[in-house]
Amino acid sequence: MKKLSYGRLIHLLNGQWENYIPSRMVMLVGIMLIFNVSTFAYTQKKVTVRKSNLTVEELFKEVKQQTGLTVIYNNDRLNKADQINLPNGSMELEDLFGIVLDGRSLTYEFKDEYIIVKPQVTAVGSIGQQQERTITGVVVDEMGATLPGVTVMLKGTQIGTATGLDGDFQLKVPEGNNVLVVSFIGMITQEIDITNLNDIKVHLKSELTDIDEVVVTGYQKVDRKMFTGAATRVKMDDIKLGGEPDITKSLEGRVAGVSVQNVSSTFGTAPKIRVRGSSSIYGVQKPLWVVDGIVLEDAKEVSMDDLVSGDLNTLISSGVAGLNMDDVADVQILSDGTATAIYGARAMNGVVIITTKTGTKGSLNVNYSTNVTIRPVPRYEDYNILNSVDQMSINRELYEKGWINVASTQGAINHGAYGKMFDLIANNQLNWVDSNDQVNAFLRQYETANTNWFKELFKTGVQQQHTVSVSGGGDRSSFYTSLGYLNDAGWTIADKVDRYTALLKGTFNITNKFKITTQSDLSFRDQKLSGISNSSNDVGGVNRYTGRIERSFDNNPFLYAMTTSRNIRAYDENGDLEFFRRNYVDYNIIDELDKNSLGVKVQDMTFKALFDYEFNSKLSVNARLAARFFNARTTREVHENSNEANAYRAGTRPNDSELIRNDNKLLYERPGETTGIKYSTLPEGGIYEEFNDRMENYYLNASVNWNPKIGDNHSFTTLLGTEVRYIDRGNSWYTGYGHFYDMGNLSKPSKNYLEKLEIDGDSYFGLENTYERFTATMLNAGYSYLGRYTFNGTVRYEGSNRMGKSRSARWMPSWTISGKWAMQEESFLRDQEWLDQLNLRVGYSLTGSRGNASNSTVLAKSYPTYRPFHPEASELGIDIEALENEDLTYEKQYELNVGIDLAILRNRLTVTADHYRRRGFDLIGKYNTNGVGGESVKWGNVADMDSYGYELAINGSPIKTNNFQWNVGVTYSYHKSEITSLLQTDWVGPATSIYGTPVLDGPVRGIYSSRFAGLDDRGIPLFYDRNDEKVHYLNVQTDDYSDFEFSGNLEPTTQMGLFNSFKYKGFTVSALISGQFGHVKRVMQDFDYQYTDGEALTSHLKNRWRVKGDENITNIPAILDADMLNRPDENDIKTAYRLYGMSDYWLADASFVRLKNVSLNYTIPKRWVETIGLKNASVGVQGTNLAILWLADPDKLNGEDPEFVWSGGTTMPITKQYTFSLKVGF
Amino acid sequence: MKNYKIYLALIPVLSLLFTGCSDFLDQAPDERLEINTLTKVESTIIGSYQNNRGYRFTHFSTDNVTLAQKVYTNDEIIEDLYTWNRTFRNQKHQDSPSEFWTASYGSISQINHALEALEEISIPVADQGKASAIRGEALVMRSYCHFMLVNLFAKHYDPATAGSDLGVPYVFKPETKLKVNYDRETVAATYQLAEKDLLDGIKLLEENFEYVTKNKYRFTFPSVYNYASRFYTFRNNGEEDVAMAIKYGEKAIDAYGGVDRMRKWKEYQSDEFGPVDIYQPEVGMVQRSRSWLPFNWVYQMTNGIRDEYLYDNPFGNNDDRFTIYWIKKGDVFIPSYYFVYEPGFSEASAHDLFPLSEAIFNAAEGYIRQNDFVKAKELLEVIGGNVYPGYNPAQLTTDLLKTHYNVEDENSAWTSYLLFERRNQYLMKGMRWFDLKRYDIDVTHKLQDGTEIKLSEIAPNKDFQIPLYAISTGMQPNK
Repeated sequence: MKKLSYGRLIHLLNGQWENYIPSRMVMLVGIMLIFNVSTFAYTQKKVTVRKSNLTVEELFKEVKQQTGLTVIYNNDRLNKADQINLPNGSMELEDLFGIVLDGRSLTYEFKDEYIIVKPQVTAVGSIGQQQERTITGVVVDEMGATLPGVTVMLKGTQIGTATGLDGDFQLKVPEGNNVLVVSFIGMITQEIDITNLNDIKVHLKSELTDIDEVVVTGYQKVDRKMFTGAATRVKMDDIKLGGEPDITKSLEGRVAGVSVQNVSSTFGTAPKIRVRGSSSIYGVQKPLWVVDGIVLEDAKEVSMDDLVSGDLNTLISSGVAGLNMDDVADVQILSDGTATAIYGARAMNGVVIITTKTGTKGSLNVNYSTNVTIRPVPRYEDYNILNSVDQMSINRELYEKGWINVASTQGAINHGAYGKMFDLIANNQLNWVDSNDQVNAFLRQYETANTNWFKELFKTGVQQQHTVSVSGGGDRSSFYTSLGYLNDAGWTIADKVDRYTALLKGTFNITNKFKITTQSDLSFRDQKLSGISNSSNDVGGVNRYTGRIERSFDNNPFLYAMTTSRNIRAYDENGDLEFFRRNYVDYNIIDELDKNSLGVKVQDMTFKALFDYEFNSKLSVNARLAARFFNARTTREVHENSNEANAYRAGTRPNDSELIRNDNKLLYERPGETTGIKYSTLPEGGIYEEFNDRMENYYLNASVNWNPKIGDNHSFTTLLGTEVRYIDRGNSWYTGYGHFYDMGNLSKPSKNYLEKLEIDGDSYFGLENTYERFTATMLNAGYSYLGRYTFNGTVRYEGSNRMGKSRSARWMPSWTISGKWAMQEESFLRDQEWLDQLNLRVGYSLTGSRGNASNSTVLAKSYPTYRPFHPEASELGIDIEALENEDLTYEKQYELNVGIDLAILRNRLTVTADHYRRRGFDLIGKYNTNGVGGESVKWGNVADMDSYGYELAINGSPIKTNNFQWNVGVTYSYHKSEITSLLQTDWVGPATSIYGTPVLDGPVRGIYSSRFAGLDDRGIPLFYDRNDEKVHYLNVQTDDYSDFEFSGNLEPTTQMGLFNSFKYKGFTVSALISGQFGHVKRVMQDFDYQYTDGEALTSHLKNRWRVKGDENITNIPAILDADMLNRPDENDIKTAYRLYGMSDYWLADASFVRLKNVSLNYTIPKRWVETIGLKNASVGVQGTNLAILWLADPDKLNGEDPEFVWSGGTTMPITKQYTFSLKVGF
Repeated sequence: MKNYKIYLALIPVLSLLFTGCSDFLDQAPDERLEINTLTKVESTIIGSYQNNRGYRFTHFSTDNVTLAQKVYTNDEIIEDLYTWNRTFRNQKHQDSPSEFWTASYGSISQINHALEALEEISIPVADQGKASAIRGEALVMRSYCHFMLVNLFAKHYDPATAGSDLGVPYVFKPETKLKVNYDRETVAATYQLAEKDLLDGIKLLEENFEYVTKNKYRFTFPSVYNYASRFYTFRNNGEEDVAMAIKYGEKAIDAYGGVDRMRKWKEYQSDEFGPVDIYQPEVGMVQRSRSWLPFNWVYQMTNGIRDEYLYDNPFGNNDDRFTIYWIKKGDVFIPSYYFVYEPGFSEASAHDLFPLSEAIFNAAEGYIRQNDFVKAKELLEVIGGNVYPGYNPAQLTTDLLKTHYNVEDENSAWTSYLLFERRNQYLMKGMRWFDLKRYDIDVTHKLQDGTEIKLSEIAPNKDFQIPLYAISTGMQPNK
């Protein structure tokens, strides 16, 4: 957000644009300057002047070259462009400065390698008979640290002083002079009205924190002046959300153009993040992450659709889950092609650059910070679920309509209260023939149960994070190390997380030209979750007929609470766990969570070395090397007594019903056997499954920077760089059926299991490797005339093996050209005091992306042939999975970006606005062939997409006094894309689901709906077909969408963020409101023509159709009579109920405004903390996801978070959380 | 100048860093294979045998299926097959003709990849024989796939019009471009190309018979000959084809080990794998496929069909083929042993694509066409002897058949009987469709709403429409 001007105030004339001295260091210099005068060793230095007419800037540069001394000065008092006349020849530095500073009320001092030019202080002036008063005060920085050596002058006079060691000053002021000017190098000069004030406190603000001088592109640090692209930098401290360990989530609403959709709150799962929307249709859509100059590879490539699937691999989908947020200094987002071009063919979706903290020269800093986050238990009040009385009445109706009876419940896969009752009746344990009393009494105990599943399965989640960091450094080296520990005791009774992180970073100045930085990023994660199995359906885990995600075993506590009838009890009247049938066997979720779990262990290590060699001020060489080793082990531990293990033997155990044996699909039937007897593949024991994902990643980039100047007005930057990436990924897995946890982890697979494997041509272990090789070279050149007109261009040429072994497909050139006009440097604006910056930027670029296809050569893979009846006849076959597409090439995009940066009133108000237009072409999509080649759908460069957008960021400080400050920030972005050519469409089924489908002349992920036409006189939903006739049946097994309508974009088009912070003395209160607009969501509902007695039903059902005529007053369809299955229109009716869920009636406008974050921080005054030996201390409290302030469609999304996708598995909803934080520095 | 030295020194450093070398990028991105050894060529051919899609779906289009009683379950695919819909609503269903199209061309693509690789690899002398046998197998498989395609998607081979009737594209090499368009050959041309591949293949296999695979999930000797006899039986273009049909029929019978190798239907009850037991000599080529064939559909084979048509043998005898059947809803009739269910899957099953019985039928049909009813009778007696309990071959006389089928002409009488036995022998295996097509027999289907439709009015050529996605790339559709 702080995307402002380069500083006008300070110029460190060491000839390097990119180096600046941090304010802390300047301060340090100041301290030494004043108080260590005695140690001041002044060396006589002579300077030879070869040219008589020099500007101040050139002269000081000359001084630096000849003496090695850097001159620090304030441009307000000494204009760098001022001409100085000097006699030719050699002269003493003292004499030289005498001439330069003559008549400017300035003086100078030497300190080490610096010459500091500062105002001449007329100490305690006494002027005639005028009345005087004494002003005392103290000057502190933003952190409250006192500032020694600060110049305090009376405006318009030569009267002034400097602050002492404690930042205090005393000044005698003649009557009538009421304005003090307080200035210090590296800080923004302040004018203070001292009318009626005698004791003041001055807060000086570092200008470097407000105005980022440099843009870190990962390869280089570019002076803002030379940078022409769109980039936004945010400080981690400003945006951090307590209790959200994933850095991505903190970006929501804080950076214009960045869209973050939190699809799950489970640790380790990545949110959907888009920079300027999606550039690709099926390929990678997330931005490229760069941490400290090293590209962060995804350990597991998880597609966008997989992210919402809730499958096991989502747990390691977040690339940054191993990063401790407390180690992050800032985050920079490069959004347009001009900015990202240097990253070439992976940067089409933007680049997020993370810079971690570094040590600073000077004293040793020890910091400790802690966050404790609390998540409250969800409540039924927030959701739309029937209570147990209403639920029981529906059960009764199901019974009356013939869906639940003794016969049907015997073979039923799941039981509720009625199922249990009929089970008892069938076993003669309940008498219903003689009287109804027993039955009624039995049912009553469930009717009144009203189980609060949230209370049973959730607890107040407590997450704590602790980070200790030590940093410091001397003349030749500096270091930063930190250790972090995160513990999440779990929000449900099933999950918990431990994460350990370490960052070790040292910077060593071997010589004053050669610098080495070494760094190790280490993290270890140990996580436990409820046991689930992967989604099981054919098309990307989604049922192609119903559009729903289904899995065989899902113990997700949230899903369970949301879908399980409140009639079902967790505990019986004796307080023992009560079991109901599920998967044909006894089930109690509390018991099951204890016996069926998922574990994730991740070890992630990165070793980095950075070499910088500076030949001279104009030429330097940099190299960065990194090696990363990632290992994730996901385990599924299913105990021998768990429901899941027992389900594999349901029907085969003594006393099990024959019906179950026949119906249980998990049982195994020997091929050719005529007895019809089914066997269990898991007659005893449990299941142990392990999935290992590993990655080895080596990375090298090297660059030469050459930044020459010709004459006074022409400056150049060039960068010639190269990059090599080597990534090996491996996935191995092991599935063990017949594991005994209680017997000391003994494994004893059954004969049936092994036999079934052989017959199915399956295996219990496997390994699959992928290899990525990548190389690139790039050249970047910039030219600036007087800092007013800047031009920049990049060419990059890169190659990757990912598209297959085809020489033609693997190379991709990309380029960019851009310019910037710094208007405030123009003569007609230079004198405008109010204007600090006015930049106009234009960039045009071609970038590319690898896409998701790899069929540039034929994709032939081996497999064992499937010979169920004769396993011995199985041979190794080779399957041509994809035909060669020799024309396959990178996805590409042209982008035009126009931007403006405005800063006025001493940067009190800054505005950055960008507009971009993109034309994506050669995008990879599916092509429907005629099938004659042997592949009906091929991947190829068939799609084009146009998009455009606007981004606006406004930051302002409407009120700014010594003690009180109000900062406000607004981000707004709009993105619209339209696929202009696409050759294949998905089936209607998935296109109506949460995944959506690419839409021609529409968005990348659009959703379709059937058009609901009310209920008929039997309470069955009707729909409009293509001819607007009302029908029950529409064909969903087709790619012909004529009967359906396009009903919106699944991804928000508009993002908004509003940030306010109020600072009073040490207190800071801030609030962030974020909003997303312009998208829709498929409401998760489960209406059907029948229900089972164990499922939770929505309270909409209270309004269901019951009698003829109800169709005029309700849209909730009827529960049908079981006899419907024996009617000729059975297929139509079933289809009608399916279509109902896919209809526009159950599609909601998902726009929302959320109170994302409210925080209160208090920085304890320095004088207090120092008494207990601390350097600084602050405490804070923060609330995140506090409320949805506005929801476009509250009726339909009642109880459903607009961002959360309800897919069970590993997913958990976005939650309210409260964080308490403490930070202390020693 | 000192500075220049620095810059010069940079050049070697930089050139080391700029590793644009292409070998580095030659690493395959995944575990994909290059088909570069004879073993991999063979594996690619093994991969060409379809394991999921077959032509059994044609069952629903035949006269073996009618409106069932007290069953209401319907589905788009069943309804479209039953009503001979010209535009199937579900083009990707496993039981759709379009999926058969893509699967068959997928097999052809496998074969073409294998054949192309076979040209490029160098084969040691010791492996030459094996390589030739593999090549032979590939050519036969390529022929077979095109043959089945042309029979499903084109008009039946009619010597008078085959030169102009639309056939299917005959593909000889793998695609390497995203979009490739093909012209449809004529039926005659498709047959001719398939014949060339077939005969070339047989020649190679015969020359290298010791290297021919014995794995009955692939083409082995009996099934190769059996397919050849089917080829000429279907084409039936003059006396030569009839002679070839008989020749390959007899060759096949020999390869199976003689007609006596055919087992009694009853024996399937005691054999674990019944008609798909590859260790039984009568088994030709087993194919596993997924199909919704035996489900309780509103349009399905019924007891009515059984009583009216299947039981109607000239001998008034019981028929072992219908004594054991699955209990189904309503009056749906699904007899056992026409296929074997795969355990755990209600929609996957295996059946024999080329049983010995087909070679017998093909040879018999050839003799009938030659009006050699004695030889035809000899062969058809074998069938009868294995399916009718207490069968007396003496009963099978021309007169009996004339009376039973109420025809004057001997040839028609024998043909009717042959078609009757073929129908009963290959229920639910899709064969009936081709017989209806070859002998131009019309079918009437009764719909749920009580109306009736006639095949001759909807698809007089008894061809399935080519896939919609092929039409939309510009391929010429059937009428």
